[in-house]
Amino acid sequence: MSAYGKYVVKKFFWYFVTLIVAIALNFLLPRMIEGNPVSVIVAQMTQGMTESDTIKRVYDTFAAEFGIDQPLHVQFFIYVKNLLTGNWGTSFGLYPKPVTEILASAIPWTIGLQLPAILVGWIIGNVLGAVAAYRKGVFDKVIFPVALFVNSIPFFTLAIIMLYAFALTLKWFPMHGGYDYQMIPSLSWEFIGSVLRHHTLPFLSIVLVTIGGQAIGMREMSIYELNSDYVLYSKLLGIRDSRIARYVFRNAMLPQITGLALSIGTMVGGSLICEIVFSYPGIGTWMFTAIRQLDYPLISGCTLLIALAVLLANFTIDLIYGWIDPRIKAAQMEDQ
Amino acid sequence: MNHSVRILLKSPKFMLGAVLLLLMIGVVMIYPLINRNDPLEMIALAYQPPDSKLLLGSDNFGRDLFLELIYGIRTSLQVGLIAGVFATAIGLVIGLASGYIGGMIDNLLTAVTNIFIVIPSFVILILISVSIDSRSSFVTAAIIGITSWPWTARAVRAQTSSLRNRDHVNIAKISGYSTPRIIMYEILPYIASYVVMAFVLQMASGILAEASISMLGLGPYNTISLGIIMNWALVFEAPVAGAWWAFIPAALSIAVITFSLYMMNTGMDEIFNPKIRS
Amino acid sequence: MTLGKEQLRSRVSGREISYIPQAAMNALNPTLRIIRFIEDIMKEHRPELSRKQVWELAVERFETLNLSARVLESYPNELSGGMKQRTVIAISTILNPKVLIADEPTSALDVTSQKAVIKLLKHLLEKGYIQSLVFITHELPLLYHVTDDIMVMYAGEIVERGTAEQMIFDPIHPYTKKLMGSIIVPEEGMRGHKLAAIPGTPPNLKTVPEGCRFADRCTYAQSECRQGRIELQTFQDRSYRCIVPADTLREWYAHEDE
Repeated sequence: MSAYGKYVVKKFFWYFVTLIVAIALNFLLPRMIEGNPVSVIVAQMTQGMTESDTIKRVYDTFAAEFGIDQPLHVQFFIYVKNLLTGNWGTSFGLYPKPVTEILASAIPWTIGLQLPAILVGWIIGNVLGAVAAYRKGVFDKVIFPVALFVNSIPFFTLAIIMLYAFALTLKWFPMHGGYDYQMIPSLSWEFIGSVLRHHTLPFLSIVLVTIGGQAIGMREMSIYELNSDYVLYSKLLGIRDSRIARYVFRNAMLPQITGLALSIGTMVGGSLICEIVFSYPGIGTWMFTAIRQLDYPLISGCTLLIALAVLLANFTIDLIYGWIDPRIKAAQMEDQ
Repeated sequence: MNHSVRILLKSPKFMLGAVLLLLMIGVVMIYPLINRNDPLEMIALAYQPPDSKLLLGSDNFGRDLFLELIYGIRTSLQVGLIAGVFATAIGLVIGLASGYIGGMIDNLLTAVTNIFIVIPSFVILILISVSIDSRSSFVTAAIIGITSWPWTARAVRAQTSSLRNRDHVNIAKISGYSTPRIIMYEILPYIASYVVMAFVLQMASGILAEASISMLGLGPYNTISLGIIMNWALVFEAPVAGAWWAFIPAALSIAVITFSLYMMNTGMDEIFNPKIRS
Repeated sequence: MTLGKEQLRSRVSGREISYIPQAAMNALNPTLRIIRFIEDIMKEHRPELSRKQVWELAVERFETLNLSARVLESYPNELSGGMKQRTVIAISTILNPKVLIADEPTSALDVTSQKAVIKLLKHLLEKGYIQSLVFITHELPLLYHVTDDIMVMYAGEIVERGTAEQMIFDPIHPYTKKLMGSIIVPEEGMRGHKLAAIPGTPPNLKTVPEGCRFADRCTYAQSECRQGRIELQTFQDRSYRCIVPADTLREWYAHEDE
């Protein structure tokens, strides 16, 4: 097998183990609630419901879903089997809507918001960080503290400030939602325009904070690379500065890719809360609603989905990284 | 150690961060002594704009937002501190065990660390918070600490395993010193600066984590934190009411606290890792 | 002749004067194949060559230096330490520079590898790939075998210059004299011989003392030594930086050796 193939298999194995741990945590942690989870849940959700028939029906549904009378490990297998067959439970808040249906409606919004925002912020941040390290002087003196300050602003804080400034005071952008609620989703220009207008502020607040964090990391990596021996050697062999800058950029960029993998969990978390501020119809807002209504199946569906998405993103980044950094391949060769 | 402290005092970045932080700690310690009112007391109409009496106006319930902010900053700092202590302590123990003992234990602990680095900590944070009914701010802080140790563990492990085979450690081993003593005198002094930096970062991320989880409505009960102030502002639609004073000061406070902590960290980093000095 | 920074880069660096860095291990960009780096150098100095010509030239040069063409396609971390060292030497000399500055190329190497590096450098000189070599080192015995001329520096200044023969067997400057005293010749009676260290430490280069920089550690220092600037003196075909005439110094040395 090629060195890269081995690398992929190894990574795949580790992510598979991590996936099982994530699923197990998602299964176990909510079951640490005192008492029989289903009766607690049912008690909470049926407050106000008087028809005993309904309560019974709800109870039976959940008892069947959780396999409540079985031992824990059997419950876990039922849980995994249900997950694999697409049965992620039934929402309490929007009973009897299946959790998967709610999540499916939210996923496109969240991906459409976060994927471009994180990528754009990551790219701009890295370029700015490299420039700050390379140009030094005024550039560094301005970019660095600003980036450090922006990076210290939590995602949702910036989101709130932007909401206040651009939506409320200046009225340039709408305050809530993913599109005008008077409209019926369609493929018309008008609808797309509305989606874009609603997209702008949450997008920008994620981009800005991401830029801050990435610029700081990239600046540090670039300074480190600029001080390395190969830069001096290349200079003394007469290679022009612009080309050396390219060497440095590339080499500083590689750890930034791993950095992206490691920080993507935090970024996604921050962005989800950003959605709440703008009542953006993605996973984050649903989770907010679910927590307020103590809609446990939906909460657990959201957390599981987020964990899965972050794992998948990490795995993808690891594969790309292994492909482009020659050092990984060499390390694999040594193992053989 | 004194020497390091003296160098630190010369770093403008570290000093800026430290002065900001101390200033804030000073204000939140002293102000409640001057203004002895209960921050949860309703003393005005809803969403009163700031004036000479109510420095930051009132919130939805007509409470003094400036007083709430002071208590909020205090809780957030406390939560950050406790979370930082928990995360650093757990990370330190796991990192030291993994790096110093090596072998199978190292493999096992490294695998666990890597797994928990990839699984987003705020997912675990939500799952635990949802499962615990009455959360004090201490419990919230502890949960945050328990979910954010892997970074520290990884850094400590890397440092420890490179120290493990140094001559001075080997000499200590040959001299028959006990393992705790070797770790105490031959390993810890070398990683102390990393641990302090990790603690500062953990504290910052602890404050952010508390704010995030409180925004979601899973924050501590019976207390005021910066995240809770923003959660109230959001739930009671302060932005729609145009009441910027209900959320902007709290938002900026978080930004200033984390900024000062990051500044301290960057200042320390530049001193302890000369390679990244520009 | 003065050159601008850009002219210096394009006309001199790598082309007229080339360089072998101290730590050859880290001198190569870890994410660039060797041949890509050579292509980049060629783009600066021989832009008329096509990629194919560069490849042929590199293969030829590498093969005369006993490096296989496969090295060209490798990344630096796929090469062993000794291979990296030789690769760096090959890259530094690929443009046949007039002067090659080797900055401690043998430090941190074991004796066998040292020998290989010296052989390689001599080979380059014999083949005419480089015309002259500046060999910076602390290892004095090595110098005698490598160089024609030796220049001794102290605290950032040249203190003496002459042929290798003269410098080792007939040093003039007090510092050179002491320095050469540190050479251990494995011969009878050496065991009982005590090596003399020079007392004191070199001056802090941020605040160099006035006058002779070596004065503080020199056994022959006089009050005039600490005034003004001490210029390089010429004596026959060599030069040295000391206010005492060469003959006087020699007399003192002869007297001391008795």
